[in-house]
Amino acid sequence: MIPSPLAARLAWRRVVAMSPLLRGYTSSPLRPWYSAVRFGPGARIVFGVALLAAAITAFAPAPAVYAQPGDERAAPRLLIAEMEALTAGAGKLSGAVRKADFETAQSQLATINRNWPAVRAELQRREKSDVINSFESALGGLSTAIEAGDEEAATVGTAQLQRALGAVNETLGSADLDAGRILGAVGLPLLIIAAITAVLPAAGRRIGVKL
Amino acid sequence: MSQTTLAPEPVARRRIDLLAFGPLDRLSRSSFFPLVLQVAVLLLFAAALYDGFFGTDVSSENLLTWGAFTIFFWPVILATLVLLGRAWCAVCPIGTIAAIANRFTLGLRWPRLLSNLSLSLIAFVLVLWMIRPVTEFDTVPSQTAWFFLTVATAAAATGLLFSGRVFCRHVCPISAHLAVISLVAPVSLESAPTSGLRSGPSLDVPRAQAVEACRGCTGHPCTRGTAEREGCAWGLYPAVMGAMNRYCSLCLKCVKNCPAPGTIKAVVSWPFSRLWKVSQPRPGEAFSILILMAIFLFHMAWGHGTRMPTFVHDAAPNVLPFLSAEDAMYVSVEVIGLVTMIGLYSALAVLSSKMLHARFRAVFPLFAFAYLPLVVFRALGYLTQDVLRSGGRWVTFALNQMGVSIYLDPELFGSFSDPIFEGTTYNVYAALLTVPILLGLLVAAYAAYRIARSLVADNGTACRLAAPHIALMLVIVLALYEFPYLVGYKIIGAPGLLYG
Repeated sequence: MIPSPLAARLAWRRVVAMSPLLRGYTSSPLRPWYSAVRFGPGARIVFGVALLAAAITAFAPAPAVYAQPGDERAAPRLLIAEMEALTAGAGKLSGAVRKADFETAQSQLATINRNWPAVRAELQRREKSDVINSFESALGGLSTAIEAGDEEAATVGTAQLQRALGAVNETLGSADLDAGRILGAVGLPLLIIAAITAVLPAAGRRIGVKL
Repeated sequence: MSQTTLAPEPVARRRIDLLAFGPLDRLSRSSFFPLVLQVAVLLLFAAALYDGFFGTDVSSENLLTWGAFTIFFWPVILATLVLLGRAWCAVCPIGTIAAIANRFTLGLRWPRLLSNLSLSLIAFVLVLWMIRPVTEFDTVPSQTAWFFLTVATAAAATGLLFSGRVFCRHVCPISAHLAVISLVAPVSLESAPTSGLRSGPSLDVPRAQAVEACRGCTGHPCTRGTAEREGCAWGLYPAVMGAMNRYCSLCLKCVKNCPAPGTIKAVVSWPFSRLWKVSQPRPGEAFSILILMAIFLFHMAWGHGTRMPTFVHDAAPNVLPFLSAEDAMYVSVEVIGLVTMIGLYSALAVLSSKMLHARFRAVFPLFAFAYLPLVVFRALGYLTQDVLRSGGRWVTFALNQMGVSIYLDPELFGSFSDPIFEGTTYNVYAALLTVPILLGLLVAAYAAYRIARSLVADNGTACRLAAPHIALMLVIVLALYEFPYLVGYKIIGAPGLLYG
């Protein structure tokens, strides 16, 4: 990802602003009213590492959890809304088929079709084509049966769909770790917290503010 | 006001001091506490705010909308309140922003007229309770972000203009509720017990005396601060704080500054036991409890689906034609609940004031604290239900935010939706809404008795004083609360008078 000129300018300003912290002292010939306060080596190291990590993430930001499906660079999307809609839709579909209410069944089928692509994208990313095929085949069969008004085939289809949905649930229930994002989402904030906490007492003394 | 006979002071018992435990003592004296937590929560708030403006529009997947309203206003704040009192206030990002701004304050004095809980209560009732569902700022992420940005700006502005934690104490919409519910917690910061410090909601509370160790202390660094560290941001003086304090956020700055270690203690007492030791209760606190009762005991029982009576359903859209039918019903139930709770309680407060031969204004706030267990038990039951029902969703959301792609069933511990009684819809989730409050009823009745006992020396008079309040508790719990639930879960048939 190529950084925008604005991002580059902001990154440079940040480095300039933080340079006294990296040097280890704050006195400046241009600002004689500032008292010289030395930062300990621990604070400097932690702050330097945090700055480096922030610079890295500024140039290669961690992709959002909810990047839209279809975007190849996208990280796995948070699937809470889609999976709950699929589960609820499949349940209502079964109920409607049992009552031979094909109109409701059609609308539930539409709900499932609307929410399936996001789940499919995640399964595809995990290379679970067998789970995708099984779900889509059950969905296709059920759709045909409902359109034809075939109650018996629709009942078999809903059972297949429930099984396929169970397989989808099981697949998504196993954790898929993204080391880069874990580092970005957990490690980086911890570093920033440590850096700010280490620097704040000295910075507070410098500007005469009690903590 | 006539003088009321006070019950004799209880003999000081040996109490547990958490700060006597080495690691906690070291933690309390560390300059990194609560700084690290403040920085962490402030960063999380900044990330959530960014997500509100630029993240997903799906409210259940947005860090701000979902995090603030589903996680922070509910499990995090409630759990910390019940266990540690106002500990949340020590790390609250809005409070941190106000505190940062307060370092550069102009030092104006907050108007005396507003130095109470009125602004906080009005902000809560209007913004968080009544307007929230109508404007949907709890469901549309960008609106949520604007809301929190406005609150943060207000906090910064009050911090810049006025000295002290004005925003947290008088303006924050949840401040009044945090103050009263914090009394339920078993942990409180107080100085060494002394016979001079009178506890109990007496009508004529003598001025609290400072403990021995504090009498010789001239600088009062606990409250005024030292050259390096500020004192209590809330302006509290721990030497006379006692158990009745409801503004201490356990930031422990007083402990760090105190020149006589061991004077200020983090005392563990029985949960709910501070409810009958409240000194100088204020009308605002009583109103806060009544509002909580209107929400948790009335609105939640009457305001949803099959539990809403037909007359509200039919009349509300005509009474409030400028709102949508759904919003009109919501607001109507809120107003009916608030009027009912305040009306019923005020009537009993009049009765109590007659029995005590004291002014209504002095008696009004006294017994309100006894009703708090009803609210807390109800809220804890609801929280448990939420954990069982949506725990998987919370874990899924948190893990995905941290880079672990996973989807867990919302009912993490299995489904509990099968009916307990045949022919009804009453299941474990329903039981969690209806059973804990019965336990709360017992605790509330005991609290009412203890408050009465601290007002009058005679046991029989105390029972007579508490009896009307216990009767009202029964009415509230059984008639106003349990009844609509039992109708909703089809345990009893819907009576025609209310349900058409």
